[in-house]
Amino acid sequence: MATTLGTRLRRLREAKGMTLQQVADAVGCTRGYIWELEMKDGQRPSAERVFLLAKTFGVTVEDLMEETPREAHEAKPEDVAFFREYAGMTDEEKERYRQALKLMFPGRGEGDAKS
Amino acid sequence: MTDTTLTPSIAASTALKWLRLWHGASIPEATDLDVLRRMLPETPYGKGVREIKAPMPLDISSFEGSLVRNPEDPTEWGIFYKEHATPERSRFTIAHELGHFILHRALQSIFECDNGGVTSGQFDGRHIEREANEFASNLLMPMDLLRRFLGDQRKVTLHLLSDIARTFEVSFEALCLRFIEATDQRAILIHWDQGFLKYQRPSRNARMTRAWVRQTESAQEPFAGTLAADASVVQCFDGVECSAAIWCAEEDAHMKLREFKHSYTDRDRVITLLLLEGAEPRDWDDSWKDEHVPDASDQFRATAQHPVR
Repeated sequence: MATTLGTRLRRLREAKGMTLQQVADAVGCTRGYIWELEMKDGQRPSAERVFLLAKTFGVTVEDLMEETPREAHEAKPEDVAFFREYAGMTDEEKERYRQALKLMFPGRGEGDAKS
Repeated sequence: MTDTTLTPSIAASTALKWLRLWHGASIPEATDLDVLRRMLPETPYGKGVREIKAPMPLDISSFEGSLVRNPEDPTEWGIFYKEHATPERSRFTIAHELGHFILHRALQSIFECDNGGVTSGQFDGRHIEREANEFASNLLMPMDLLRRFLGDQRKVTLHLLSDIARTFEVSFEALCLRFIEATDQRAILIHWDQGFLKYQRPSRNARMTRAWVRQTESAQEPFAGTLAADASVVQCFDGVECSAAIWCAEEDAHMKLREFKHSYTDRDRVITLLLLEGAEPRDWDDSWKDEHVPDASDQFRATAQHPVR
């Protein structure tokens, strides 16, 4: 699944080991508001809030707001039948996926099968 | 194109029929997905497929599972599922991917020839995800077996539901959602995330009687006086009785409900089950007065088309 702002926020918060309340305090809003940002699509936080959220998590505003492409442009359709999560993967994860496919179908002629 | 008449529930009941034939009298109560996976290529649901490889775990964040085809051999398919998931979750994911295999693998040509097709039209992502979930739910928790395990539904407790979940080897939440589909009681399942209402799922009879947990805030917290709001109560599998009006605005003052609570170990996720006292359907015709005890397939079917009085 292509990541949404909410998914990114939740991942960042959990990676930092922060509670909703801690993020809310840092941004100056209620924990319910942070929860809605994480859980509900189509939320439009103000520029100031976005700035404060990015600062809290130690990322840039661009990182936080980046919209992942809806289509899985980089997916190789010949590799993946149902690549609904593919678009959200990092390059490293895409490589892991390709390696897993080689393990699943060892007959593929892509050179070194042991790698 | 796929056979448009093949619904997830028909596909699941057909698969169960084959499994029952294969196992004979020794059929396990927990659907054996490995037997089904190996059997499918031999069945009409596996036309043109030689093998579905044994599912493999894959460690990728936010990844649940995927159905893949060997790029060099269209007769070979495989399934990946999330590594580090609980066994119950993995089972559901594998069943879900088998659902994609049966119901949607022919759509793959659409994916290949149309860049924008994945999210457009009838076969949009959400549509096929819902179908695959419905298939998995029907396959892992067959309605006939579930009804038998439930017995007298008026005696349902979370003890019983968690026993049944263990028997089917599915998650407690998946079983609770299936119970909501199966029950002829008025029941509402609520999932709390970090203390806020993530979703509520009313049973058919609850919907018919407009029983609905009121939501006054967009981030709704549990109402004062409920078990859900009481942080000192972590689990309540036997349930406690309270006034239904605390939860549901449309309930009369004398109506009661039984509230059950299950907290996950991290306590960030809580499941509330509400079993409401029986009530007459509102704004519907008189068919509820029939002596006939309805089951889910015909329950209120006759009333659905009637005008509101």
